[in-house]
Amino acid sequence: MLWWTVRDVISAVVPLAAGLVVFAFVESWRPWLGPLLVALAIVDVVHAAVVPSLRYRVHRWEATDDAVYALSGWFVREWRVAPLSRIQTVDATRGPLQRWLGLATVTVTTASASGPVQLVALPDAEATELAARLTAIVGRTAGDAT
Amino acid sequence: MTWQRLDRKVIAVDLVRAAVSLVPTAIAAGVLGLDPGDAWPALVVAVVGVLRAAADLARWATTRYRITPDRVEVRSGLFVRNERWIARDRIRSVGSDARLTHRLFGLRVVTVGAGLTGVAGATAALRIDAVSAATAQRLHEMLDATAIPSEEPDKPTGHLLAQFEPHWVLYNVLSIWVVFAGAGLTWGGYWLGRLFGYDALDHARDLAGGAHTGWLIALGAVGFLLLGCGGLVVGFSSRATGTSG
Repeated sequence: MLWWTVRDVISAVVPLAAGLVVFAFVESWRPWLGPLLVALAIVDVVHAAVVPSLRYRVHRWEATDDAVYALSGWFVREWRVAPLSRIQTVDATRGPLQRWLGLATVTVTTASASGPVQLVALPDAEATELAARLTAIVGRTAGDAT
Repeated sequence: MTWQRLDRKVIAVDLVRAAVSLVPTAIAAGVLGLDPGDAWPALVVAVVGVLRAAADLARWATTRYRITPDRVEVRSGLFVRNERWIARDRIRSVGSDARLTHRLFGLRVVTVGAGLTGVAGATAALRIDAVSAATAQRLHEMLDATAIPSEEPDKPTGHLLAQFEPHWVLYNVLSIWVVFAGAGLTWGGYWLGRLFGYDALDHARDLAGGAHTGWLIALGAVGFLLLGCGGLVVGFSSRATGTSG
């Protein structure tokens, strides 16, 4: 959840800072840019306060010995199941922000037309453990030759 | 198997590539004595070439792979760390290829396919870029139990369905691609000239001064098509020798 907050804050601060720089240097734009920046700041604060916890609440995942499940979505709930017998690769990606917070995003790739199943921002150790466990089980589960 | 690095000779490949990308600038500035401003395309080539080589060096320095009894693992990335696990059971194909700079240093790029689909059809799940030819051979044997251990060509079995005929080049040339190949070669040649501060368009305008427009267009079109034909013939023969050799 912290990751989402930090990410939202960064993506809010960058345009605000750019706006402030313009505000400081271009005098003729000030009359309309000032109110716009204030409105943007308010929206950003509310967004950073509310949205990350909502995001955190709607994301769920589970990995059993048969499949990986991922649940996400606010209004349209999407529940995805990747059977272990179909798993091709398991990836763990850590961006700079995620490394700082000790997180990892695990991507489980099957040959599905709707793309891979993503488990966003798991704790680092858990991600490594999960990936190792998944590939170990995948190694034991006979592939169904698909 | 413990964590392995890519082959050290990749550094040499990168250095060669960086050096090659500096050649146009060296010729433009050293031999032709041009001002850097006039030869800016050469500078662009140099900067892009050096940056790409540096990025490839970073990739070389951060990539590790290992093969365990039940899976293949690769770790890479400088800022964004990426780990990938593939169960050995899910490996569909193992291949290796080498481009010219790789071959100069006896390197091979090993690709491991796991039936992933991408924009351009099947994409490799793993690309080990690059290891020495001997290591590549060993990886092949480790990953693909049915691999043929020698590089000797197989004795032909079964009967011949079709064999390559040189006169097929006619079919290759008689296609719409002549126009595109001509356009591409003209465009490439023009920029190659610009690289050294030679503006072919200006030169052509000088030559053409006063000539009849209709003749010029006809001449241009014929030259264009001939160039395209030449390009397709070269492409065809390089592919033909590539498959038979």
